[in-house]
Amino acid sequence: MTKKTTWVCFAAGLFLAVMPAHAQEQPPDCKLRIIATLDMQTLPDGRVTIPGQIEGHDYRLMVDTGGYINTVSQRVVKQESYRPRRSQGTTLRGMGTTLLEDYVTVSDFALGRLHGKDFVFFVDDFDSLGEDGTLAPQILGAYDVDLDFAHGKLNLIYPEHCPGRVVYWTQTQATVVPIEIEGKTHIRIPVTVDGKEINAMVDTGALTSFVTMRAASSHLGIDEKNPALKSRGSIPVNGMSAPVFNYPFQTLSFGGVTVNHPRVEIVSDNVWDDKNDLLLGIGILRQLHLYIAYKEKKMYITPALAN
Amino acid sequence: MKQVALAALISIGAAAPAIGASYDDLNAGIQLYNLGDWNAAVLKLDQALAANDLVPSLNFVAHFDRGQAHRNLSHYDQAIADFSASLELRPVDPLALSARSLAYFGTGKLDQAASDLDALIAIRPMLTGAYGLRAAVNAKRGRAGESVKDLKMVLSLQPKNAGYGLETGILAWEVGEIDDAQDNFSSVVSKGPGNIYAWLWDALARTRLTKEIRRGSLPKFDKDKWPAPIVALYLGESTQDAVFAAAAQGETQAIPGQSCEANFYVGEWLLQHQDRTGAAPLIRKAAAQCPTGFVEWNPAQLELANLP
Repeated sequence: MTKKTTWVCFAAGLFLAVMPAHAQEQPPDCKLRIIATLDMQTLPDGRVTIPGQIEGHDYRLMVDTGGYINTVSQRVVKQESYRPRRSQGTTLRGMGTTLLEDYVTVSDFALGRLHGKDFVFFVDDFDSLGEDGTLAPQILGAYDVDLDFAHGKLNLIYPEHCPGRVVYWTQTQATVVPIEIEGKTHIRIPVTVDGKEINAMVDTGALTSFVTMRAASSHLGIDEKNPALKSRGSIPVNGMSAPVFNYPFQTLSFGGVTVNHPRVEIVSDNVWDDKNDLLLGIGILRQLHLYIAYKEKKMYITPALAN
Repeated sequence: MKQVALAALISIGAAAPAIGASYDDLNAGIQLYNLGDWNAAVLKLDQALAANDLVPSLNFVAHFDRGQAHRNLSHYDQAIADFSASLELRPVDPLALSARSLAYFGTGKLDQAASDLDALIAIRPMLTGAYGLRAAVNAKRGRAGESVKDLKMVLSLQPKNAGYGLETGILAWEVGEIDDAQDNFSSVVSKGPGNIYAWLWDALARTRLTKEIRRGSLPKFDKDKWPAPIVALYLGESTQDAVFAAAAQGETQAIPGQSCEANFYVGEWLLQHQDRTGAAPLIRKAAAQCPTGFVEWNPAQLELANLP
């Protein structure tokens, strides 16, 4: 997950490839048109990466629907002999509490057979053997993004599809939820937790699903004195050490799709700016098949194993 | 919402194999792994793998996480089997190579550990940790020259603005750059209280450089607790016997660590004072008994090569 302090949109052209003119129109037969099918790899903690090419070299990028901007690791910077530049007026927070101040311009970035030029990636100082950077909605948001966790596939699909006609993977009923796109990037959807409504941010880059104590109190009717709360002590969440509580939530529902016994932690208010929302991390999202239609502003959801 | 049968229009939808409850078990296993509940994670991942119907990328992570859980439970052979299964799916995966090399190291299979680290370094030539571990493996194999070469690589890969630190100082000490080592130790000591181990290293480096040990630079430390007896020895206020007697006292859990440190710091003290005969058995004990996680472990292994 990436946390913003100030935001300036760096990328001029967000599309990876120059789309053919007909791609801007709905196909007459309502067929979905796949731009790229990418093999998803699951990291040990459950988050996922997809392959990407930077200057013609293969790397793994973590899919971060909660990120503000794409990032690369120091390893990529060294390997590609980039000379990072200090951003002017833009300061971002990376994973944890790392300040992102330096950026590089990738002259050739590719996902599958799609290529784009001059993409800005901020430099994060994380050191991971499983990922070389993150891919945020800055790029993902230009497409429909189909996340099939159970089969290890991520499809990028042209966004100009016939309204509502996207659920190709199952004959069973899918839930369709409206999405708000916050700050041009973040996906916000309505969910129901134990029968009570709350908005949730969809963040595949977050390990943990959580809600602040304030939001738990105001939306879910759970306050600090609730006897079912179990303290886990002070542990790192969102890069900050904070008091964390477990609570025996029974259900988390997206319309007709329900996750039983969702693991949602309750954290102190200082962990997250968006005190009124719930953050949906990868532990819950992996249990679903998600089709994010950024342009249509809808998300199509089924259980991960629906087929 | 209107349901439209689009399966025929997207090939991946039609081609995807069916999977059953194993996927749910995998997700549960990953969550338990993230919580550090190793035994429960192993059970869930056993179930996830039993049906043998996960797609290869998920099969990889199921084996990897189960391997990590086994390694944390010190079930090294099972861990190695799981990491090997992961590597069958992705033969040069850096995560699996790194994890298996650690498991091999844990079981004393040093040649296999070195082989995995060679493969890891071939694909990740700037991975500092891989050189550090290979240095430890080679030190344990008695290949001091190769170990020092890797330690030099670790030093060279450090960021230019990394600043001074105890570990950097120890690395410099191990590769024979004693002036740099002493600069690091001295800087750490001056940063404030609680750096008594940096002071011990500073004292060793100063002795080797024939500089005076600075009593005035002693950071604040508890004179009634370990490693105060070693400090007293270095200041000429105590004896070796008193250090070993103190090392055998205290909480049961702490005694092996204290014993390691007593052997190492007294042994090094004797070495720096040219008493190689007196130092040799102590350094040998330190090399054999110090836990691998202790900063004294690697220097003790390397010192063995210089002993009579």
